Amino acid sequence: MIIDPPKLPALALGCAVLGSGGGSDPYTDLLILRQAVDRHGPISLIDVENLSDDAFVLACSSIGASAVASERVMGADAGHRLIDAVAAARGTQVTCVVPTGIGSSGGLIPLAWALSCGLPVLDADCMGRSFPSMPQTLPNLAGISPDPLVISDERGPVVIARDVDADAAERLALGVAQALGGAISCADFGLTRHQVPAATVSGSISRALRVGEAILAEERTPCNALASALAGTVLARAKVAEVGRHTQHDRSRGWVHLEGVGDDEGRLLRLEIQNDYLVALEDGRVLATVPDLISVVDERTANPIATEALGYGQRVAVITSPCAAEAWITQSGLELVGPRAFGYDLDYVATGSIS
Amino acid sequence: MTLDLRLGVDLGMAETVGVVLNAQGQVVAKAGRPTTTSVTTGFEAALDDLLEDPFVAADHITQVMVGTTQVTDALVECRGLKRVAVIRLGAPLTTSVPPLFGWPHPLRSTVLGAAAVVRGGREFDGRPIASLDTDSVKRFVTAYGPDVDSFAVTGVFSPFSAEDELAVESLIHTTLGPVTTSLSHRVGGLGLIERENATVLNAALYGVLDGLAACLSGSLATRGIEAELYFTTNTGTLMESGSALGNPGHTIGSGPAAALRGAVHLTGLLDAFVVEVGAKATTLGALVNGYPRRATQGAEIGGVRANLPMPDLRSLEFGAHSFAQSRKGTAQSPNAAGSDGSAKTVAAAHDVLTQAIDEMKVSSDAVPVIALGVGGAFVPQSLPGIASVLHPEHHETARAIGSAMASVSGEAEEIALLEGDHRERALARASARARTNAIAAGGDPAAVQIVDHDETPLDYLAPAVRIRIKAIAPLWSR
Repeated sequence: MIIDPPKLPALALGCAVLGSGGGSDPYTDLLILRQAVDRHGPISLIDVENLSDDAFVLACSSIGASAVASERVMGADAGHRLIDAVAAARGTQVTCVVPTGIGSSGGLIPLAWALSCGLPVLDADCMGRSFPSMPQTLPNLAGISPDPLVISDERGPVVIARDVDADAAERLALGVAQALGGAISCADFGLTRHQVPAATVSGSISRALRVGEAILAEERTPCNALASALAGTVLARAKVAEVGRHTQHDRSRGWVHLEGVGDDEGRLLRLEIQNDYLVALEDGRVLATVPDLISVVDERTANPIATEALGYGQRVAVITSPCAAEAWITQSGLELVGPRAFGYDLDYVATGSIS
Repeated sequence: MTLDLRLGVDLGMAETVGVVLNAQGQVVAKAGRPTTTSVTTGFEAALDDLLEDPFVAADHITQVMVGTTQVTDALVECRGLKRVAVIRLGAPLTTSVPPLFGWPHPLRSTVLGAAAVVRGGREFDGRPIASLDTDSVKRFVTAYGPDVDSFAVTGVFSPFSAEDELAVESLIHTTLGPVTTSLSHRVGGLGLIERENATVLNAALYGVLDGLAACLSGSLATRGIEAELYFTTNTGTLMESGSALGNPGHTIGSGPAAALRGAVHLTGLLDAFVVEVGAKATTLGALVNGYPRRATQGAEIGGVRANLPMPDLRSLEFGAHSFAQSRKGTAQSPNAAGSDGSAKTVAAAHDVLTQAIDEMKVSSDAVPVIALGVGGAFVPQSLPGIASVLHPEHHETARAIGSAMASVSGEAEEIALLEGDHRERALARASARARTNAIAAGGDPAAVQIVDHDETPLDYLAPAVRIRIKAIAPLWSR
């Protein structure tokens, strides 16, 4: 499958939906990808089945605060530097790139990097959405370590950390990001052909594209079109009544109260939010939890609303859809990405299990 | 008691409105004339109407404040634009998106003379990304300088550390003499591409206001008015004619901003919603602490995303035409696009307005609404979520009055790590810079006030905040 320039806006929109409220407006990221496509040609997506036996797939991401990344825009050779550094550190050529997390800019930047190196992109990702940290990845769940972790920066430094597990890698990456100016390129995991099935969710990029296309199709009921593209349901249509935020342990935490409108008039919902939408509650009942996808979108256009862009009075639809990776819905999976991993004393509730 | 008078003018699309205020801010005279193709004719007609008033003496008018759409028109029509040489300081970073990437075609080819991305720029904490490549800058300036009208210079994190942009400006002046140069830290805040776009637009618009400023000054001079000329900006404050010529982009969106400021003056309310009901369309804006609330999203101007400080506005698709007078000319009754005059149209417009105000609020508290414009009278007293509706006297001149309110502003941003006294120091630096900027804009140094202080936490940059400070000051009368 080929992704050409006309499809890029839909891809960016789909990635924003799969970001589940994390990340901000990917304006600059979309420009970066558009420029890479203009220069190097369209993106070629390959399926897991079409990987050769000696394939070596690099899962990568850019790390940094969005306010910093939109100012300190990356260099054209960021991907080249990272991928060359990985090859040198591992003694193996990278043959294919996969985004670590499909959400928001995470689903766009690795594609630009692949293009700049003439590499194809595996139609998959390592989270099935996006989570905020490196331990919350399927490779980590599958026992694959990020060893050696490779971090690079267009100005020169390459940081290689050996014998690190995902927890150490996460702390290192944040520390290095801060030391180097707040935005870095990170090689998270190297995957062999036989590791790919357990370490990735197949079809994530084409899914993002379908999701974005559903929004842009201008259906009469775009929220329903989006829900059906996600194989999810519209939980409620509502107005944002109140947003609360505070910063705790370096991460913003908060909640949003929603008042139902139209057919949902009289309902009161509460969402727990950090970078992402994590839990949906109504009358003390848990309607949906992470790792299932909770999306908050503009009620009229179905455009996703990031947690940082939430504000009183917005007319929204809350859409929930099942987690894209069955591996997350296991005891060890939920320990990493279930509600308790985010500090909520709740059990995971499968979307749609309460009616 | 001073006899000083201030003249505020709105050169609107359809009408040219002028007001004269006394030193106490009271309306002494007002006049409106149709806007003419040459602009000056309408301006002079309104001016002559005002000067006929026995209380308006030409030699008492000391300041003239003008709001104009001329810059916006030039951009939309791609007319009278300069050719710009674009210099970005940020390599080896930033090269993934070249300057003017994604601009619509007629505008891009009209504006772009040449572009270069050279080594330079800063990190958020002021460290250099790379030391400024002055040799490349000199070569570029020498090679392309003769073929362009102006320069646009954008350095990474220049809103925090402007040194590299200033160094490039002086290199340009040393090499070519006094060529007009737009530096991004004077144009917009964080967001490199949007700020660069705004800076290039600004450089392309140099000169658009020169002709207007010269004509207006001429008209004033022949009538014996020797006054300082100011232009209204999109933050609702003023720029001296001199700096407006250097920052024309800041007049884009100034009309609604002036209306919001005018509403403050007419009602004394500092926090309210302002509804301007025009003939066919309605604009809704929010006042916070006496100034227009700023839009958080970058504005799209002429198909280009630019982070000029635009007011947060909502356009509603109804206007005075949606409300026609009933048989007796008293009650409101609808007449939208030849509809049968059912009460539905009015009710629908009320619903749209109610919901739009609700969506723009920051909490569920009922808010006061100030109604302006030809259809302002149609905004009813009782709408859900609205505490009261004010229909102030002189509301039809709100934009001209807002211009005449005569204050200037200065802004500054910083990013601070939350460790030690970094935050306090960054706060002090940003406050000092905002004050300096307000004074540089013509503000009275004795009366500068910090009016806005905003801190946003930054994720993934272990505990850090982005600090934004805004200062305002009344114009310093000389």
